[in-house]
This record gives sequence, structure tokens and C-alpha cells, in this order.
Amino acid sequence: MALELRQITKRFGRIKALDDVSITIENGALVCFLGPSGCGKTTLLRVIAGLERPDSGDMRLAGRNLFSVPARKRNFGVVFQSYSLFPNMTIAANVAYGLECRQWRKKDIVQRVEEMLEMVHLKDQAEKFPHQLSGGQQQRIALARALAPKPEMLLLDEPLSALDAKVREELRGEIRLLQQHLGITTIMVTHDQEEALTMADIIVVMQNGRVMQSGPPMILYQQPENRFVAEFLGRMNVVPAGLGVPVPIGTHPTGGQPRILGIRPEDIRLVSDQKKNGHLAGVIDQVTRLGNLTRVTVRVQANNTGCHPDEGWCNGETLRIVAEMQGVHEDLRVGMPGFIDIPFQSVRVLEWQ
Amino acid sequence: MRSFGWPRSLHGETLFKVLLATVIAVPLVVFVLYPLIHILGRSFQTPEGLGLANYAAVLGTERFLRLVYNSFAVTLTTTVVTVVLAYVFAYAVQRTCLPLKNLLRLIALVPLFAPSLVQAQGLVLLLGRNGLVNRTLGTDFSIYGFWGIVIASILYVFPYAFLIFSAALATADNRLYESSRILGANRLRTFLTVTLPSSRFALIAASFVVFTLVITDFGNPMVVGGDYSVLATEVYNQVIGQANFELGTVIGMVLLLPVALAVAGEKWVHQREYAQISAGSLPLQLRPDRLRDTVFTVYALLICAVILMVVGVVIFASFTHLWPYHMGFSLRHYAFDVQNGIQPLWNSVYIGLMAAGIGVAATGLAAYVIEKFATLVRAPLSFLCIVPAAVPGMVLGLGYVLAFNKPDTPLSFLYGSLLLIALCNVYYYHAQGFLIASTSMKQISSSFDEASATLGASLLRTMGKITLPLMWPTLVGIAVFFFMRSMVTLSAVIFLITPSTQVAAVSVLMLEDRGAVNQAAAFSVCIMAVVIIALLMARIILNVLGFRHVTLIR
Repeated sequence: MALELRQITKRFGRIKALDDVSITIENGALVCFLGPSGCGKTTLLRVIAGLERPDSGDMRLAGRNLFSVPARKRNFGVVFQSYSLFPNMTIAANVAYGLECRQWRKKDIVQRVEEMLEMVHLKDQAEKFPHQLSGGQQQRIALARALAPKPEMLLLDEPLSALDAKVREELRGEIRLLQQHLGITTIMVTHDQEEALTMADIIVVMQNGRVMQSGPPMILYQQPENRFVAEFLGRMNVVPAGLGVPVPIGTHPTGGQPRILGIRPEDIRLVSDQKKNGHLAGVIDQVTRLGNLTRVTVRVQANNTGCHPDEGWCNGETLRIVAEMQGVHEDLRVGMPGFIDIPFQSVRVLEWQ
Repeated sequence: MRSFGWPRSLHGETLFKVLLATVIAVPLVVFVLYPLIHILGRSFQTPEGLGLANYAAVLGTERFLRLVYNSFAVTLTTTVVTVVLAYVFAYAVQRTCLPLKNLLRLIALVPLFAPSLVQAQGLVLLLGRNGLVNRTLGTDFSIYGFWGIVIASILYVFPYAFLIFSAALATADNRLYESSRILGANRLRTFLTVTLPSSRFALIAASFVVFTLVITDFGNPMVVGGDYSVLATEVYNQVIGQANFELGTVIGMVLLLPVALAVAGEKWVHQREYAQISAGSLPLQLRPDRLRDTVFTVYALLICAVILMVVGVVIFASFTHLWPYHMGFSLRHYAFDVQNGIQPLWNSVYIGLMAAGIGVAATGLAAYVIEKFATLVRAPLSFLCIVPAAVPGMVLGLGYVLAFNKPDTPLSFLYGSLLLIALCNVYYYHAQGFLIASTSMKQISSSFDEASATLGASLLRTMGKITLPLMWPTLVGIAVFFFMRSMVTLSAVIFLITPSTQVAAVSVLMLEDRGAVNQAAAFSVCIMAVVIIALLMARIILNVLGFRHVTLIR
């Protein structure tokens, strides 16, 4: 039942919205397409939904070629960013719409609509019109409408981006529960890394129409393959190799291929003395206290790093390294010398991207 | 690289799309391009075969040069004066604390409800040789000529310019005005640096619109022009007076050029227009100011008084026994004991209803096809939809006569029917109707169509269940637009009427021309009454159903 996309390419004029995208989506998984705006994630979703026709590539659902199947015959439930509930119809009529298109019997439609509204806890709103509902309620109805015809797959296009933080968090949990309960293969487009990290089985990180890396959230967080993924998911200090930062055994930068190193702020420790494992010496530039977490920025002179002007690094230039430590650390002040201790297990070797 | 054949399952929908596009394109070709080709052909037709003889006979003559000069003198004077007057009026309504705003706005729009020569009619009654002023004061001056045409034309186009300015001045970003005030700018400086620049597109657009309306108008110059001839009246005189179609078409072609340029200019300005209101804008807060408000109130009342006076005197005259000799009350002119009696009014109503129905279908479908289908024909089709805006009504009407008054062509059965007059009105006003429809279509998010498609709906179902229900209030507005214009228009239909298909607006002109001013006035009043009743009915229906925001007066 897996959905397989092979070498999908789509251009809009001179812009390559999708550039040779190949992914496989396993049955029953919740997959997030994650990336900044304009990375092609929504285009990819629209290609899957049949709303956009790729220029080339291959697309199969359980081996069946999807390419020539129009959107209305794909039987995918789609929830749009703007909900797109039909304003001229009641909530019940909206949910019934897909069933009427499939010519269900009247009795079955009534029963199914009731069932769906119950599922999203909005049974008492059936006769209202969309504009009488709150944003969160509208999104739940959009979900009910998309799921009513028992689609083979559920596609969500930034479903939560128009909602306030609190409703968003609530719905996150609800969508995930519903998805797991129904066991429906779901693709969700989002630019919110927190949303992706908390909800997804698989995250597909995209940039400039390409897939940068895909995999389970924790793998992506702990083992980013490239600089883009490392910086997009969580915070990451990126330093040139050869600065004196220790590297895990077996991952020494190979000669010729430029590599960079990434260290998560939470893995860095500040020590008071260079002798106590201080790998890098610098000056404390900024101290931000976020309750029980202290974020310290240390300015380090980057010497002997080799020159990489493309990346903005050159001998003598300044690097800023961020460390996050539990506790208040009242003794830390701006202007003090800061010695940075980096445990070598936590250093990631990244591709230049 | 793999190739993808035309998907089988799309065949039905593709066919449907092609069919719809054809349904839109064919009538546009038949009722716009075909008549225009005829008129172009006729202008080159000479006794010695095709040639430029007709143009040579017209273009070099002193009379022609004077006509061009007259037309431009009248049009440019009117344009400048109207733009200034209407801008200040719109400013008064939108930007000052004026009492009775809605009433003043409505009065400014009154000329739209009347036949397009009612201004000239009123002026003659007021200031003509036998007018109220000469009669009461014992003076003997004449309004006929340049100034008569200019004054009548100003009143005629005032509402069009006002509507454009009113829309432009309705919204503004309050933050700009606050910043300007905080920075210490006085009111004049704020006006010059904030208000005026932000309405420059409207000023240019209104100038082009007014220019087009005035240079192609012939009702007002006919009635109040006297010996002062303009291009539009000359077309009429050549064709109707002397049956000289060749010269008529040549002058028609000459008229087409500046109009086409003006329309192109307006579209060009429209495209460069950018949104001046962003999501962060704050609505404008009007602050009362006694001096400013008083000045603008006096100004607005003056303008309204003039408009009401000119229309009012027509209404008054229709109820007098025999203007201006016997001013007692009488209803005898409403007996319509003239040739054809009241029939022309009914003809106008039938034509208006037909034009409303056909116009809604034609422009609504055209907007649907152009907005919803990404096809190769989109650009040429939408061009075809707005071409009529660049064609003077008289030229289109003349084209209809030449194209359809031929016994051996398949569509000749239309000639002499009310249907052809209705079609002429539909395609004459096609561009405006189409723009209303496509603006509204654009506002209906395309994600509704996509949502509908992903839920399994066919195009036809989406159209019937989603698009149409969301569009219908706008369609009512378009129907009212076509009805209103059909009731009051003169220029497009003037060449198409026959004794049995006489329409009310033409009756007004004929009666006025014969000196039957009372009966002409009575006809004008009836036209206004029908238009206002139709507007009220549409308004009530829309309001009852909860669509207060739909604009009906355009």
C-alpha cells in the first residue's frame, strides 16, 4: 500500500519547484514535509493530491500508477490551510459533500455525517454555517469532511498554521490520535519544526525543491547529514573543521572534501579554565537567562581554520558559539573569558549544504 | 524520460472545457468582431471598388477638421471640469464629516437612472430660448452650442467619475495620516503629500473613462448642440440624415481611434495600480472640523441642487399642460398619444430584461471560463471580452446594421427584432459586465474548487453547488447593470430601431427633436421610474436574503 514517488520534477516558469524528488511513504505512517516557505513542500503535496501535474516522474500507490488519475478520482482526503469549508453550506452539508459525490444512499450519508461529527466532538454544530464556528472548530470540520468518504490517504496542507498557539497544540494531539486510531496514511506539510518533531513518524526535510534528508525525527535531530537539516531542526553551532574541536573516531574529515562540524548548544559546557578541557577560548558576548536555562554566546577567534570565504569564515574572523546550560549560573557575565568544552561524542560531521 | 499520454479520464472534462470556451468565444466573434469587420470594410467601399476614397473625401476637409476640433474641445473641457468637480465631491462624501452622506451620494448618482440625454433636456427647459430663465427674467440668451454640450456632458458623466473617486477615497491607511499630523504637516500639505498621490490612479482612470463617454455621446449634443456639430452627431447625420453609410463609417472609424487609446490607457493604469491597503493598515478615522465640514457641505449641496434641478425640471415639465405657455398641472402627456403610444417603453423593458438575462449568462460564463480554466485561449478570450469597451456605441450599432441587415446571411432574421437590440446592448456593455463578474470570481478562493475536486466532485457539480451559489448575488448585480444601461442607452441602439422596435430613450430624442418637450419629458420620467423600481426590487431581494454589501449602482 506504500506510496512511491520517483524522480518527480515540477517547474513553474523558470523556478524548479520540485527537483528530482523520490520518496516512499509507508502505509499507516504520519509523514511531515518540513521546510522553509518556498521549499516545494506544498507543491509536492499538491502533486500527490492530483491538483498539480508534475513535468516528469513516476507516482504509484500500491503499485497502481497514479499519474493519470485526476484529483477527484484519487480518493485522497485533503485539508487545506484555509480550511476551505464551503460557506454556502451547513456543517452537515459540508461533511456530506464527498459522500454525495460518491452517490451514497441518503440513510448512509446521514449516519456517516453523524459519526464523523461525533468523532471531532462537534455533533451539536451540524446545522450551523462555517463562519459561525471558531478557527479550530472549522479545522476539525475540514478534517471530518476529508475523512468522511473513507479516503485511502489523508493530506494536510499546513493545517494548523492559521490557529493560535493553544488551539494548535490541542489539535496537534487530536490529529495524531485520530490518525493512529484510524491507521490512515497521512502526509502533513508544515514549516513548524516543533509540529514535525512532535507528530511525525517520518520527517522529510526539503529545501529548494529537493529532499535534504528523511527519517524518524530523532534520527534527523541526532544524526543530521548536512548543515541545512542540522540548522533547521533545533539549534546547531556550526564550526569549520580544523579549529581544534575534537572529532569522533572514524569520522575524521576526509582530505579534499570540505566538511564542517556541528555541535548542539546543550552539548557544550563552559569551563572556567583552559586547562580543564577548554577546547576553544573566547570572550562571553551575551548571557540570556530563560528561567532555569542559561544561554551563553561566546566569541571565538577562528584561527588556522583554512579559508572558506563562501561560508564567511576566514582566518582571524570571529565565530559565535552558543551554549545552553541548565541552571541560573549567576557568575557568568558579559566580557568574561569563556572556555568551551566540547565532548567529542556529541560532534557531528556535516556536509556542506 | 518517460512520456505521458493525454489521460483518458480527463477526456470528459476537457471536452466540457472546450465546449464552454466555444460557447463564449463564438458569440463574441459574431456580435463584436463580425460587425466591426463590416464597418471597416464599408469604410473602404467606393463606387470604384475598395479604396481610400471615402477617407480622402472626409479627412482633408475643413468641415472634418472643425468636427474633430469641436469634439476634442467639448470632451477635454468636460473631462477637466468633471474630474475636478467629482473629485472634490467624492472627497466631501468620503473624507469629511458631512451630514446626510447617503442621500447626497444617491443624488449624485441620479443621472445614471435617466436616459443619457436627460441633462440636455433639462438644460433646454431651464435655459433654452423658451426656458424657465428666459421666460421669467424676460432675457433672451441661448444655451445651445459649446457650453450647452459641456454643461450637459458634465452632468451626464459626473456619476461615473464620482463612483471611481468614491471607491478610491473610501479606504486609506490611517497610520499615514497620523504620521503626517505628528510630523507637523498642515491639512493642505497632508492632502498634497498623502491623499492626492494615493488617488493618482483614480484620477487618470476617471479621466480616460470620462473622455470616452463624452466623445462618444451623441444624445446631449443632438439636443443642446444647436449648430455646434461634433463627430458623434456627424455619424448620425451622415447615416440617418443623408443615408451616407460610407462617410458615416469613416467618421465612426475616426471616433474609434481615440476611444481605443483611452480604454487602453485606462487598462494600463489599472494594471500598474498597487494595493495601498495592507493587512496592517488601520481604517481612516474622520475627525470633525467645523470650517472644513461647512465648506464641503455647502459645495456638496450645491452640486446636488444642480443635478436635482436639471432632472427635476424634466419631471416638472412632464406634468405641465403645455410648457412653457400653459404651466398648469396636467397628466395628458402620460396618455402618450403619439405614434406607437407607450409601446417604446415596453420595448425598452423587454430589451432590458433580455439583455439582463443574456448579459448575465454571457459575462458570467466568460469570467468562469477565463478564471477557472488554465487554457491557451485564456489571453485572447479575455481580450475579446473587453474589446467592446473600446468601441463607441454608435460604431457598434452601425456595424450591426451593416452586418445583419443583409437578407442573404444566416443571421439576418435577427434584424428588426428586439432580440438584436438586446444583443447589441449586451455586447456593447460586455466589458464592464465581464469585469464585475471576473472580479467577483477572483474573490472566490480557488481552494473551494480544489476542495470540491478532492472530495470527488465533477466540474459541473462544483459549478452548480459551489460557484453558482457563491456568485449569484453578483450575478443579480450584473443583471441590474445590463437592465439599467439598456433602459437608458441611446447611442448603440439608435441605428437599430425600426418603427415596431422603437425604444423609449430614442422616443425621447425624437420627441425632443420635434419640439414635443412635454411628451419627451414624460417618457424620460417613465424610464427613470422603471429603472428605480427595478433597482429597488433587486435591492430588497438582496437585503432580505442578507446580501447588503452587493453593489447595484455602477
